Amino acid sequence: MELLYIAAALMLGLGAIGAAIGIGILGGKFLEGAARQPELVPLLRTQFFIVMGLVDAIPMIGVGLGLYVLFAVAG
Amino acid sequence: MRKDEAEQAPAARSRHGQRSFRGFMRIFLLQAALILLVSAACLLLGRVEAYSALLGGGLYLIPNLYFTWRALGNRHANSARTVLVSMYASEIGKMMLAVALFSATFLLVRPLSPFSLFGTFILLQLSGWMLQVKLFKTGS
Repeated sequence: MELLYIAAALMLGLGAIGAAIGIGILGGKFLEGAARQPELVPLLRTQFFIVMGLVDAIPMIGVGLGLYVLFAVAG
Repeated sequence: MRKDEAEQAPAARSRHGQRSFRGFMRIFLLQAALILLVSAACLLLGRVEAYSALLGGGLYLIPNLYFTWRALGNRHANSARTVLVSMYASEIGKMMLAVALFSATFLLVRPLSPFSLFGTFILLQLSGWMLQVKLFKTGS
């Protein structure tokens, strides 16, 4: 039973680390692009939004599976 | 930049934001139709599978609608700093909403078919990638 909690914690924690690294790099690149060409901010905003959706899709699935293990399997 | 160009720039930015906001809303409408189709197909397997598919679709759509409304709905966010702040705040809200909805679903809904719930959820993530890349591949 304890292993299920460890599995859920790993799924949630590793997903969070991956999303944090990806979104941090993305935000840094957005600021670089906006500093170079401020007139492109609206275009960069749309691209930022799309890539943010791509980056956090897999962690969201991991969060869902982790909570399923936590509440439905172990609970 | 000339004076008339400087006056037109915020309006052009606002128009661009509105256009992309409408594009994303169109994607969500297509995805809502896809949820209904998948749920109708799952009805052939059973009632539990059908409402699990509906729940999986809702678990995808509600946080993403909030994210889009919060991140792109603010027309006054034109500087890089305000855009970044609104994106990060919306992402945190989306994550918290997703965790709350997943927890509530797994605690309150019994019986549940995990295969149709996660199948629909993953299908919507994939369709979201494809539709967004297809709709915005021109870079507009």
